[in-house]
Amino acid sequence: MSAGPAGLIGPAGGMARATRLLLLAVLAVLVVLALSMIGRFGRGDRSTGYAPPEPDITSAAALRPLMVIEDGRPKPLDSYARNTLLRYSGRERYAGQPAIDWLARVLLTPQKTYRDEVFLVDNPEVLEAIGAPSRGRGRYSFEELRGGFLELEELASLAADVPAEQRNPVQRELIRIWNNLLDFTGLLASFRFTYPDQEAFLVDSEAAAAALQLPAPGPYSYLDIALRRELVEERAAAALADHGESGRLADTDRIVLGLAQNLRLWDQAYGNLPLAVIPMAAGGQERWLSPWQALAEPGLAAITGDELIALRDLQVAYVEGRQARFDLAARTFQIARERRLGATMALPEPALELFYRRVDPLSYARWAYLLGTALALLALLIGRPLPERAAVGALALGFAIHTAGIVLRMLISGRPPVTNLYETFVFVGWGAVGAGLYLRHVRGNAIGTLSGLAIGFLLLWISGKFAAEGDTLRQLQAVLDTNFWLSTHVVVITSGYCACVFAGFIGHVYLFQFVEGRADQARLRQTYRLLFGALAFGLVLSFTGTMLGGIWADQSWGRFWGWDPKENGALMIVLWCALLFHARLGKMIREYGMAVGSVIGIMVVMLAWFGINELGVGLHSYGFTEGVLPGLLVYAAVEAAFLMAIALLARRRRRRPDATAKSTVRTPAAQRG
Amino acid sequence: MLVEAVRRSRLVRVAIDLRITVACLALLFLLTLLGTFHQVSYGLYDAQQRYFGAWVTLVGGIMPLPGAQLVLWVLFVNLLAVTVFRFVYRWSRVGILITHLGMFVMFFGMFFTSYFAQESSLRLQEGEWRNTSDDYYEWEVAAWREGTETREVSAVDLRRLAPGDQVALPALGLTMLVQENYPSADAFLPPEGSASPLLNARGIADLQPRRRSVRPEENQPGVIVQVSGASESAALALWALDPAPTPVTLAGRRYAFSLRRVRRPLPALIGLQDFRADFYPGTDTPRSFESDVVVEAPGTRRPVLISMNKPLRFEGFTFYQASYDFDATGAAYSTFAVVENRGRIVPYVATALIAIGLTVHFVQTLVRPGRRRRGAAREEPS
Repeated sequence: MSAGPAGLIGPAGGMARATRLLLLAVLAVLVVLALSMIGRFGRGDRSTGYAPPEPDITSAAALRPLMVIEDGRPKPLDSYARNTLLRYSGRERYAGQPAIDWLARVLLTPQKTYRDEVFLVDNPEVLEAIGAPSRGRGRYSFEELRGGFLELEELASLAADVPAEQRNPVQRELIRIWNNLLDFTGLLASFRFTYPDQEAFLVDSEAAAAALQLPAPGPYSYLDIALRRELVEERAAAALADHGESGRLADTDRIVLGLAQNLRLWDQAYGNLPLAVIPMAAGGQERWLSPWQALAEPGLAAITGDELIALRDLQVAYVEGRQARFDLAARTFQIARERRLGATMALPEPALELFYRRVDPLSYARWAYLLGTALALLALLIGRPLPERAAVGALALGFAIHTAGIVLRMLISGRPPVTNLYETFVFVGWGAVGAGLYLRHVRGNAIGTLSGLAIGFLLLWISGKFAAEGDTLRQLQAVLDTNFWLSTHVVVITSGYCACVFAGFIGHVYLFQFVEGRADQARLRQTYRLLFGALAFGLVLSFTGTMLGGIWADQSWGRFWGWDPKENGALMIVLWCALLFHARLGKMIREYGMAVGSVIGIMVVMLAWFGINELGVGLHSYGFTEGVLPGLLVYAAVEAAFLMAIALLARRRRRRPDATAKSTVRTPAAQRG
Repeated sequence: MLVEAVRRSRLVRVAIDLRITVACLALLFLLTLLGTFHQVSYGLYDAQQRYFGAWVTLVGGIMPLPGAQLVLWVLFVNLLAVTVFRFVYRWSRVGILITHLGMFVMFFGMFFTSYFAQESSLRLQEGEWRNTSDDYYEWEVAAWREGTETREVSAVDLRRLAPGDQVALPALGLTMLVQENYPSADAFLPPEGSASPLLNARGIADLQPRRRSVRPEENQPGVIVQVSGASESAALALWALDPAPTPVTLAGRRYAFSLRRVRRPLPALIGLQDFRADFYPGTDTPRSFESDVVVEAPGTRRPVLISMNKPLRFEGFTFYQASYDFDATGAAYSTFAVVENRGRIVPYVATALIAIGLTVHFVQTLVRPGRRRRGAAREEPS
């Protein structure tokens, strides 16, 4: 602890060659990760080179703040577009265009998007199965997949019959792609009500046009005819009555009857399309309708007519490439909607969410942590204080951005910080970074810098994998809809995860220091103290969180404990920590054993945190996520290899005559609690 | 003197050994892990029977391990012995002491709940009143005389009935000979045109055993019994999914037999007046659901609103809003989980104690880092 903060590992001169090589390897991995992160938002992989046509207008940004409902939550159309594109392609942009521009093209000029390569196929076997041409893992267009539509439907429905947790990767992929394609065909048709249809709604005589108060003969849209529904049906009824008497059908009557029939057919066929943008407050219940649903009910069509016509203007302006009219139509739609709703219903203000999604603070925090981790490792390698200070700067900066991101999310959702699996990663990462900053600033220990940075980065990186399923600000199940328990039980238990993961990370550092050639006893002791403290926090927080969970369960289900898998997971963390402390107290293990135990503790936490969810049973079986199980197994294998290597090295070290290890492990723990 | 002698006795030395604590914690860890994975294929109930509620268990049918029940008792004895013979009672250790006292209370709560708590369910249609709830797992054969002013029901637990058993129903003057008893059964109708040899409300001619479900509440038991009274007798098939009780006429008297979930008496008459569910717009996900019920007991009659996270508590019973359904006619049914647990406060006390203990200990270690070391060294006489 001479100049600068207490080190992780001694100055560069005293570092074993193997350690330096290892540090270099980790740095190389970080560079690869950084490259892959850039790749996510940049070029496509194995694309056919197809470039989508230029959109008809410069920007569809005017659509962004338009509120739409999805999964029961009103959200800006911008979020809807991003979530949809993310679900299809794993990205929030397509061909360099913002998601909203892509969505506008899909909705307003659907035929021009058939060749857009937006459907991510992770598993090329799916393509073989449905007989579509394969060019390996990558993004495919609607046109490419369309050929295998029937096969896909059949295979996906077969796969859906298999219980979720028993499906193999190909089956899961089939279902995912089928759902995405189905969803996409819905989007393609959802503005069809605005375009004139040459077959269904062709009014080809002057007399018929006049009878229906249409300006001229020609093709009309579903919208035009549905807004005149009463007139059409009245005329159709009259025509039928006439026909019954005279046995003849006049030309006008034939047209009107055809229109009335097609109107009903289209009501049925398109009633379930997505994009519910027409809110209604009826009898204390909030209802959101798609334009089709509003048009299918004569009473609603009349009162929402202004909004629906604004949507048509929007479509026309888009096709004609008139930016100003497009923006105006979007604005008109919103004004008409607000005027109609008046005081009956207040739509949420989209500004915060738009800001959050545009800025995406957590991705910046992730970059800061990545950069910081690299700097901290560099500092170890070259043994100079400057990169370490820069790393601390990155840590502090990342923490500030991270905090802002969490606060924004809380403001948008009106909820405590953790309400779903995605948010646990964000929150635990934030806690670890905070703890790291505390250690570095208050205790002056550089382990804090590296731990905070590395854990923060890894968890934000993992959280990205969990965000690809769509909206991360989802609504809650009825039983979870209580801010009191969400802010106590959930926050405490996730803080427990955080402390245990932190302890596990320090455990790694301790083991490194333990086997590293010229280990410094004082430093080793200091690291052990940190580990002990973090683990103690882990025990206390996990225990308290588990008990609070029991109380919640008792309050809402009537039993304190039910051996539910998630409860068991939390119990296992508590048992593991208690086991370590008691074994240490009874001198069954030493400091080295505590470090190994805390490393294993990370695996216990992972099991409880998201491994259990993969079992697909129990009351907490939310958030089953693709690819988690293999990831967990790989991680466990890597840790096992690490522990074995450490054990070998430690043995070699003990055999050396000048070794100090023996005295280390024999020293009684002064920090026992 | 005596205390010292006891303390040094071999038995006590074993009882207070920390290795026992560690071994128990490790075993509990392992059992929890195994029991959790066991649930995936065999369900929660079986996992509870096999791992958590058991004294001994065979893992994978081969490796014997103590069950959680046994481990918890050993841990309890260990804790008791440590409390009496090992702990050094001094101010510096008061936090740890309170924490372990809390663990004591927790154990009491656990044992109390596992031996005395009773869970059942109550499903009510709007406008319906009941003063009994249904057990989740247990079934009974119930019989009564038809056409009488008040109905006196005789009921026998299905678990107690083995093929060949003769059961007397003295209140009805009947005896019942059990022929078959299947924990879960499929029912078969007679071939077209022929009559059933057995009496049944649905016309079932035969029952065959089927595989038990991993969720025991889904089992549909069936029994075949020979009921005799005076000089006449009749063979009955009773099945869990019978739509109505099976009528039997013996010596001119009319009786009804029914196989139903065991009825648990409630301390009050509960009536459902209204059920409401509120959905997130455009989805089938409920935002909340709630029931207006009326509780009627001698001396009281009051309306209560039961909703998610807001149960009704009444005389040691708690009624939770558990689920709901609508039948084909659109009528609403509300289902409540009913729990009778007079020890429900115990875990709260334990949690509070442990929380206090840990806080005290934490504060003490913060305030007196120097003395902590000596306290710890003294605690372990080696």
